[in-house]
Amino acid sequence: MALFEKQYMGVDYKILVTIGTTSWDDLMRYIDKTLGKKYKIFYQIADGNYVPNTGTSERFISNFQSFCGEFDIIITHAGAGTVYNLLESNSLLVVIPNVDRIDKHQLELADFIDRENLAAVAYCFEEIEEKIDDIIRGGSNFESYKKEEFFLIEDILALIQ
Amino acid sequence: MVLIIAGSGGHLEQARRLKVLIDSNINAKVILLTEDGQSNDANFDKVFSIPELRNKHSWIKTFFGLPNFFKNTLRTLMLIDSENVRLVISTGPGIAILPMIYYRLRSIPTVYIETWSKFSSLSLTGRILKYVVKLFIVQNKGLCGTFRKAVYGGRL
Repeated sequence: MALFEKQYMGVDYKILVTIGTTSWDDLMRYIDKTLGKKYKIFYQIADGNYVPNTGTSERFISNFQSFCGEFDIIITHAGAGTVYNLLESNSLLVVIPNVDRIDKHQLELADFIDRENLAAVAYCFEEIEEKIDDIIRGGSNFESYKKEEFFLIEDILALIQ
Repeated sequence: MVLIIAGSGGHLEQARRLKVLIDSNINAKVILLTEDGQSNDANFDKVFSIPELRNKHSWIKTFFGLPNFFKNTLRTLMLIDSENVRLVISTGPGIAILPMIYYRLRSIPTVYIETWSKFSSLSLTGRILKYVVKLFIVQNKGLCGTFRKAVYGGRL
């Protein structure tokens, strides 16, 4: 069923919030107090201290890729491992870089995703709901992620003495 | 034996993908050196771990953790020595620096694959290891101009 059809039929959207292995309590708190009242949300909270009051929370998810297939939209931190796995499985994403970390790797990846129009990118919490509304209304046409597979493995193994 | 050095999160995911490629090309033991907390990874023949170097929320805590980090790393490398390492590959991050220097000094081939999340500038680990490793590979074409010897290799 297409997302806008679900809205018409009054069927709840299922949204996953995932942040990988590094806690992000501020994001969880924000979504709990806003989107958590509107949608069915599953929170993957890692080792965070904040446990949302809405929806369902787990710290980590085994069989992550098959689990993600159950959700209409995934809100994800801009951790490359998570993002690339989700893009490869054609998930509908809202990517939000975690700028609370001291390294800013996530911003570079978020910019790349935004520039290539591979997913929605929210640069602050307040943009998340707007991006989700866009996706549900069918207003977002993302490009397919085309990956050039790693091709230097033989060159690497040729170095073995 | 091939030694892969990778931290947690995306670095470890890249290492897992690398292991799949290695397995489809040669029949070799592949050992992982990673950060504490990742020791249960069943994808590898053996797993060694050391404490994470960098505190993701504080540079000060990272700095004061350095002496212990060096001590633990050297101790672990001595344990790995019994495994007959013939090739060392790292997908980062900083836990790879000391081991890569160690293996380069011992003339064992070293390869660094810059993380897939860098598009326009090298990571701190990349900026250090580009002077150390035998082969420096980038996964995004925008990084090719950052280092004369950087080789583009597609994405893991």
